[in-house]
Amino acid sequence: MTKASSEGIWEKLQSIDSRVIYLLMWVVVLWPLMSPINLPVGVGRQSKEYFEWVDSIPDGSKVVFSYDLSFAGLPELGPMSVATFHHLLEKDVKIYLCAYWNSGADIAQDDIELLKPEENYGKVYGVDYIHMGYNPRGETGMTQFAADVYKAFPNDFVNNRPLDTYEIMEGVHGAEDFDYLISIESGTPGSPEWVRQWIEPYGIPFSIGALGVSVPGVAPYYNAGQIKSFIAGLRSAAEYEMLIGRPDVAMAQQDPLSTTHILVIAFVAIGNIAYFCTRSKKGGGS
Amino acid sequence: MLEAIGPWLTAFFLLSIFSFTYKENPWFRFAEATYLGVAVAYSIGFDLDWLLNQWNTIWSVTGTKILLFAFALLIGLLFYFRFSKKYFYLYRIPLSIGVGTYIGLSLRTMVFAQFLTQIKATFIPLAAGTPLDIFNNILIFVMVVCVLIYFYFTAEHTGPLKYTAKIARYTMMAGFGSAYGNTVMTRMTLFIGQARNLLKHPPSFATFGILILGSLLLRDYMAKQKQVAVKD
Repeated sequence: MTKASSEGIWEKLQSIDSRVIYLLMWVVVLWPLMSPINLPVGVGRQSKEYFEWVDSIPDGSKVVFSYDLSFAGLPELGPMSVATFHHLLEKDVKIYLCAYWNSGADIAQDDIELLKPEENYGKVYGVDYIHMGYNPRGETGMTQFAADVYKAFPNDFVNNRPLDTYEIMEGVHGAEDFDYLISIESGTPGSPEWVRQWIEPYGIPFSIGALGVSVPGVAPYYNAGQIKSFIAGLRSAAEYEMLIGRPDVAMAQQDPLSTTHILVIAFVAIGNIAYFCTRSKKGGGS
Repeated sequence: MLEAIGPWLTAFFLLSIFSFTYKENPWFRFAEATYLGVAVAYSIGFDLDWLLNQWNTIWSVTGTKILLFAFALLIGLLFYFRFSKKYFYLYRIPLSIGVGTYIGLSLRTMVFAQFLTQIKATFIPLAAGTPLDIFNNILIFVMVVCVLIYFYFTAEHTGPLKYTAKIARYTMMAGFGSAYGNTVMTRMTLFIGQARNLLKHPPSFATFGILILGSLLLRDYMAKQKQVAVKD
């Protein structure tokens, strides 16, 4: 191979048409989805912590489960919300669903219809669990919820009936009456707002399910103990599904997740090698 | 009926949006505009429903509350003076109420939740627990101190500060790398989730895949032919 032709290859590699990359991405996603490879999935420390935290919630506890997510975040957060709701329904706890993202209210409703708590878990709506609906006021709405739940969520989402007519609401007024808080979240409002309005003033144990991209933002709260445990990204969701013994959507997507990452790593490596090769030939760089 | 149309609509809009990866095109623009319209209407619908609930359950019960509700609505309507050059200043009234309330509520606990507690979390024993804990704690201590020094701009990064600045740079690079890795995972997951949706209904996927991609390729081909004709 001559010097000129080798230079051409490295330069070409640095300027691959983005459409070629997108096409390859389609291939590495569709191929394992159509014929699964079943790559092994191990369980990480964080997923274990989250599982143990939810599992250790004592019987009779009142758990607020907030759907702070958008439809766009569903592929990553949807499996987490279903798995967490299932885990909670298997326990003898009172579940209060709510949403600070408008799509969250619909997603919570979808989860109820998917899991069918009455048929599959012997739970009764309004006695064992309730969907309090959506509050559009973000952080201010969280403060309102902490002070008076009936002002933040006047009617429930399923029957549009006043919240105080349900048995599950007996003795419940504000944040002090709840024992645990879980939020599955896409962004703002999310964990910083919950920490400011619920965790710091009331000291309620708090765990979250977040997008993978949110990890650097969540980690400081976790290190400070304000968030007791968290799962982030589709990988954690799959691990959590394994731990609760209900492998589902997240598990089914682990193969393409691995193949796409292999492709991205390959392109990063090729790009860097090509860059260093052309730089050394040009004699530039620092 | 709706269940039969659903997968076709999903495939059409998903592939129209994905067609942007080929190049900017009318399919994408149509899907983008439709999405924006639907998303805004969806939000407004939910917000109005909440407002109606508030009215029915809390504010319509006594005369005083009705007056207070009407007053709040009037203040809210001042937002529309954003579109008037003459009365623009009125728009600032609801804005300042909103900003003031939000900042007041956040600041109430922000100092503790996002400042003091975070500082306290770095006060960790350097020799406690397992060897891995000790290593982690030392790492946290060194990195926090070095990054803080890095953003101390009064003194130039020379002498010993040159080394702390280097450690700080590596620390931040590691953070950015971790953020990038997580971003890749999130973006890939979104793509995989939608690809899975498309595979649930192969006829719609194939039909719109061929239609949209075919039309884009044909448009490019025709544009090239036109260029050749002009040159000739």
